[in-house]
Amino acid sequence: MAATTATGGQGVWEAIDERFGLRDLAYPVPRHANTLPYSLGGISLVSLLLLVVSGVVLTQFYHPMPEFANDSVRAIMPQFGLARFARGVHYWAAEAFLVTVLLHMFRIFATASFKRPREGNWLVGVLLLAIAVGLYFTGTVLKWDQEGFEALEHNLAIGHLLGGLWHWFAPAFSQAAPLLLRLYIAHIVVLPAAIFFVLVAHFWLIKRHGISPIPGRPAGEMLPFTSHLAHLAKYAAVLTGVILILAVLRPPAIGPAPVEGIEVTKPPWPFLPLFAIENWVSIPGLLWVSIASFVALALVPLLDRMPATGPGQRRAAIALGAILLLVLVGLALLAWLTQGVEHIGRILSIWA
Amino acid sequence: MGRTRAAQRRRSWALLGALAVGIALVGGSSGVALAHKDKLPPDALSLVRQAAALLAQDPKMSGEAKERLEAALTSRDPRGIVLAKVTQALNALAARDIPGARRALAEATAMPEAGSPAAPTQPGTSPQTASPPAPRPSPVPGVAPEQRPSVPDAMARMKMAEPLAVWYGGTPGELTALVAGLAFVVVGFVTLFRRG
Repeated sequence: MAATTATGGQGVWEAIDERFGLRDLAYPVPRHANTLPYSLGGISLVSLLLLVVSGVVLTQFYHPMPEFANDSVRAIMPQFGLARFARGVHYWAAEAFLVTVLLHMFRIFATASFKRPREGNWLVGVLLLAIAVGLYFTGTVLKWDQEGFEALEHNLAIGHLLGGLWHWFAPAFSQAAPLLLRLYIAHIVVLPAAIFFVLVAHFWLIKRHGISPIPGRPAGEMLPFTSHLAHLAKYAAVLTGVILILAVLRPPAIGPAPVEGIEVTKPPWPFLPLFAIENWVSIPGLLWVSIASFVALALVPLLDRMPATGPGQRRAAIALGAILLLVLVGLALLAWLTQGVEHIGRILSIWA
Repeated sequence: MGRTRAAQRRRSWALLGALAVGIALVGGSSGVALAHKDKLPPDALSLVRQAAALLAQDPKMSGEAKERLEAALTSRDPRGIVLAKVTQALNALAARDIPGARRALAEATAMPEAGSPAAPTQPGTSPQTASPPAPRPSPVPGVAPEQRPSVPDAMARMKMAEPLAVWYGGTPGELTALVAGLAFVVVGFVTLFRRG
C-alpha cells in the first residue's frame, strides 16, 4: 500500500523494501561499532570478498596438476594482465585477511568480548581462525614452488604422526587425483564452503547478542546497522585501494620448481613461530604446539570467566596474553633471523 | 589483606612461570639444531638437483650442497649427469664462487638421459622414471619414460630452477590499476574523516 501512495525514488525504495525487507537491516547498534577496533571483523570480511573474486579469476589460469602448477603460475607473471593482477590482489588480500582476523581476535580478547553470553561465538571465531589458517596454508602449497612443497612435506609428516586419522593426506589415498589437486579442491571448494557456513553462524550470534560494549563505559548512542555498513564501506575502500596498489607495485614472487629431499626455505610469517619450535622439538613439536594453541584459544572463556571486563580488573589475563604474544613475536623473529635447518629428510618416502 | 597478598604472589608466580616457558622456547630454539635428515638419494641426478636448488634458494647452504655433489660423484647411478661439470661446480664452491657453481650445475643437468629420475609430483612419491616438469599442452600426469627430453625442455627446467620476481613496469594497465587503487584510498580517507 505504501508503495502505491509514495512518489519518485521514495516509491521505488518502498517497493523494493516491501519485497526484500531491507529496512530490517536498520536495527540498532552502538556508535562505537564504527570505530576501527570494532570494525576489524567487517574489514576482514571485505578481504575475504576480495579473495573470492580474485580467486575465481585465478582458477581460469592455474593448473592444479603437479607437472604444470609451478609453470602455470610463472606463465602469468612476465606480462601485467588480469591474471597477474588477480594473483597480486589474491596474495595481498590473503595477508590482509589473516592480519585483520588476528587483530580482531586480539581486540575481542582485550575487551573481554568473549565473556557471557558470547562464549559460543568465541568458539565459532576460533573455528574461523582455523579455517583461515587452512586456506592460507593450502594457498601456500598451490604455487608448487620449493616453499609450498616443503610446507606440504611438513603437513605430510604431521599426518604420518597422526596415523590413519589423516589418511586423506597420504599420497596413496588416491592414485587418480594427486595430493596437490586434492588440496586445490580443499582450497577452492571445501574450505570456502566451510568458512561461509561458519561465518553465517558467527553473524547470527553477533546479531543475537548485539555488538559487545566497551568495558567500563555505559551504553551510548545507538545507530542503525545500515550506518555501520556505510562506515564499513569507507574502511573497505581504503583497504581495497591499498591492496590494489600493492598488487601492482609488489606482485608476489614465485620460487623455483620443487626439488624433493631438501629443506631450504622458511615458512610464511604466520608459521614462523612454529618453525622456531620445530628447530627445538622437531616435527612432533609442530603437531602438539599447534593443537595446544587452538585448545588454549578455545579454553579462553573458561580460563577467564570472571564477570569483570575492564583491562584494569583483568591484569593477570591481559599480562598473560601479552607475554604469549611477545613469545610468539620473539619466536617469529628468531626463526626469521636464524639459518634454516633440515627437519624432514626423506621420512615421507617411507609413508608413500 | 593477607589473602590479597597471597593472590598477588600466586599471580606473580604464574607470570614468572609463563615468562620462563617463553624464554626456554626462545633460548632452546636458538641453540639446538636438529638436522636429522635421512640418507641421501642414490642417483646423481637427484643429488645434483638438490644441490642446485639449495644454492638457488640459500647460498649459505653451500655445505649441504657440497655434501650432495660429493655423493653424486661417487653415485652408482650417474645417468643424466655430466660428472665433469659436477667436479667443476665443487671447485667453484671451494673457491666460494656460488654463481659459477650454479652455472656448472645447470650445465651438468642440461641434458638428462631418458629414464632418469624426474622432479617430484608429490612428496614421497618421486617417480624413478618419468618426465621433466616442462610445460605441455594437456594435463598428462606422467609421460612415457622412453620420451627423450628436448633441448627446450631442458632450458625450461633450468628457468624453473630460478625464483621469479617481477616489479612495476609502468605499463598502461599497471598505471590504470595504480590510479584506481589511489582513488579508492583517497575516497575512503576523505569519507572517513569528513565531518558531519
